[in-house]
Amino acid sequence: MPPAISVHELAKRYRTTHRSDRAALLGLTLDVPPGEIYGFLGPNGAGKTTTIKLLLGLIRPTGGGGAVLGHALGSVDARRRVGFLPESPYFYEYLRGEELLHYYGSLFGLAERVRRGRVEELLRLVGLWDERRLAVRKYSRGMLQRLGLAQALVNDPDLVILDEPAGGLDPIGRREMRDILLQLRERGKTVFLSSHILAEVETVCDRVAILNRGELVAVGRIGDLLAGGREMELTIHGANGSLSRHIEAIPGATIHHGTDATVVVVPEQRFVYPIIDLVRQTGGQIVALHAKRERLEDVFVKLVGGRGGTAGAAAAPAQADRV
Amino acid sequence: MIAQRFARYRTVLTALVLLACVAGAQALVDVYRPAANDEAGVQFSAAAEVVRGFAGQIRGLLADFIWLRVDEYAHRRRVVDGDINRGDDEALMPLVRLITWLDPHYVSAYALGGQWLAFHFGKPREAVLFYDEGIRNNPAAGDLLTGVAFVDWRLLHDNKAAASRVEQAASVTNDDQVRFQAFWLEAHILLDGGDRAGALRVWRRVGTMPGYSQTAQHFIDQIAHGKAVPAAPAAGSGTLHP
Amino acid sequence: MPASVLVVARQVMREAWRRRTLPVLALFGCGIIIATAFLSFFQLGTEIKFFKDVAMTVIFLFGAVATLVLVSTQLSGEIESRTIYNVLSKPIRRYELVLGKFFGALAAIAVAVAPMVAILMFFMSVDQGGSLLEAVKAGYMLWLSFAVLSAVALAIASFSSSVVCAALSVLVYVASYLKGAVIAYAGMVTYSRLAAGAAQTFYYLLPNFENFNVRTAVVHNAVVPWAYLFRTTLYAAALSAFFLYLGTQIFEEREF
Repeated sequence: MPPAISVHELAKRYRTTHRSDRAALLGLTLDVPPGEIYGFLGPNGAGKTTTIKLLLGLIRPTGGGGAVLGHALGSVDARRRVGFLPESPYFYEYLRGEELLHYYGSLFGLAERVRRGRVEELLRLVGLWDERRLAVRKYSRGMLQRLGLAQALVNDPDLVILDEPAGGLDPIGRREMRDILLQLRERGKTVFLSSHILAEVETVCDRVAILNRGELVAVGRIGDLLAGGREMELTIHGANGSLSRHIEAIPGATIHHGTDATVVVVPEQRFVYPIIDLVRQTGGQIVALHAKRERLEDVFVKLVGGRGGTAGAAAAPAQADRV
Repeated sequence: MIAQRFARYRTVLTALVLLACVAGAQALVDVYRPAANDEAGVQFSAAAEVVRGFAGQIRGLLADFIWLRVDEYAHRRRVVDGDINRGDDEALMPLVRLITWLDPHYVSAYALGGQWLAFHFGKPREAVLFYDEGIRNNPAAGDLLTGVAFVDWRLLHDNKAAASRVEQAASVTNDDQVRFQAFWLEAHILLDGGDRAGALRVWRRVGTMPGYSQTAQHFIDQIAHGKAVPAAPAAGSGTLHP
Repeated sequence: MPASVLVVARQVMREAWRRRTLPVLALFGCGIIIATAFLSFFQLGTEIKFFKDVAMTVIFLFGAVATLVLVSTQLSGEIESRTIYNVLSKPIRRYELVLGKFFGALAAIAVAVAPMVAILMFFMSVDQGGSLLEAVKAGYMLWLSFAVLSAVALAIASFSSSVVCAALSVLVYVASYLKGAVIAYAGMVTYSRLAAGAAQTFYYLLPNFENFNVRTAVVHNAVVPWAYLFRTTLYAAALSAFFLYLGTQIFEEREF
């Protein structure tokens, strides 16, 4: 099956003044496989929303190109099969929730009979059925977000593009959103999810791409991206000075003395056994020992290097693998 | 290559073609424009064009509002209240002028303006010019013809011209009562100028109008016997001025 | 016509109704016309003329305001309120959106203007104040002028904010009425053929809203020829097409 989204060297520069411009996206190359939930991550200003706008034809690329569901970027044919939830969705305030979905549905050319069934199904799915006759201006932020998701699904799209879908949602809302995304995947849909909430992304996404300063710094399956961590963490009671000296001799190891316990992190498993021996000899006690697995957040912070994000920007993007 | 170049200029070309269509349509519209706006043959000065331009679609209403003021002054204060010493008579003509610029079919404004120019400001020749403009813009306005006839007769003492104007006034209406009034005035002007034969001719014509034969005969008898002629109407009366 | 144009047009009509601006303007206009009909302090003869003048002016003013309020908040309003993202991510072409806004505005304005024309006709018939057909023609001509004004406003809205759009549209409208004066002055102050030619070109190319003004004919009981109606319709169509084309071209190039 062809990729749901495929872009090659996609670039966008914005003209800031008469003579200068600013690069928002620098030659992004990306393939989003069909039927997956694809996380699209990056700090503010990394170029995530720019990429989404390019995919939908809201802006035009200044370089490169690509296809969405086999159609040209931003083409009507592509948009016919795409659902889009913008960041902080804004709707016609004078419409009722139900009418809004009907309006968007009719823009897809759905017959009224089809629309009626679809609108009811979606309003029930996002939990707005009881508020369907309420004017949109009376909706809370979370309700708007739910309505936004409903309108993104009104055409039963093959590809759903979500820009910060969890914004404004409470924990229950987030959980429901996650369930909906998983349901979509089960039905073979592709979800392209741009988010700041890395824990969410880590839970639902099959793959992620991390963007920083307009460049791709990492892309791959979640498992692969996190697999790099082989560190071990030991928590020790009654450690003495000889342990500190021992740890200092191990390259890449750290030791942290707390009030109750000492926490030692070693880069590999082979360093653990000598430490256990040493603690035993000195009368100390190992109270915990576990593999220190990286979280997506760690990978993210490591790659974008804090706000400035210089780390990955210069490096070649990693393919599963921090390309 | 040619196709590519054409595509680049397609937008400009299309816009130009559409503009040409606009100009063409304007030319088509211009053929009927004066008739549609009932302003055929009306000549506006540049100043009038500016006033009309600024007033745009609301010029008719503006003319009405100005007329309300003029009418109030000319009639209630001046005629009914007898307040003739207000000292702002001069303000009347510019207002009347504005009205006729805004609406060249405002016959009442021409009638009032002509009357005031002639009888209040003592400018009969200007009054005739003003009346003539009004008649040009409203050829069927018998009021204006009668009004200018009074100026010709009473102030310029040109009875012949006055009689001709009234004759014209009689010809632009089908209303026998109005025609009778015009003929009555014409006969009187002719008689005043010593043209008894002319006056008799007019009354004979009146006699052919259904319902007016007795009246006509009465005046014919009076003229034939050299009896007293009807009193001359006061200046300005006999018109349908506001 | 593509179905999405109709969908957007219907949406514009619904918005016009829901936002209350158009119904309130129409109601207010009808109220003024009815009130004028009952003012009888004017002298005989002037009364019906005055009534017709007031009614025509009210229809024009309220119609123009309704047009500007409605159209200037369409494209620019969508951009300012960011609802444009949702719309343009759907399978609709940008020119379809502009056309939908245009036709929706025309329908909404027709609905707003129709009751005012009907009231004018009613009182004209009561007072035997002239041909009702001519009143319908005058209403139609005013509506044509609002159509052109809508196209002008949409063209301006394709690159500006709602406030700028409304202001510029008013300027174009006023300039259109003043151009007769400009040309008249150009004719007076210059003896150069080039300048006169330029003034003439100016006349033919700029919108000429005066074409749609048949107020005098209605007030003075003249007959507006059918041929004039037809030609003015052509003119309105050509002018609207030109401005809509400009608007769509600019809107196509815009980035959101």
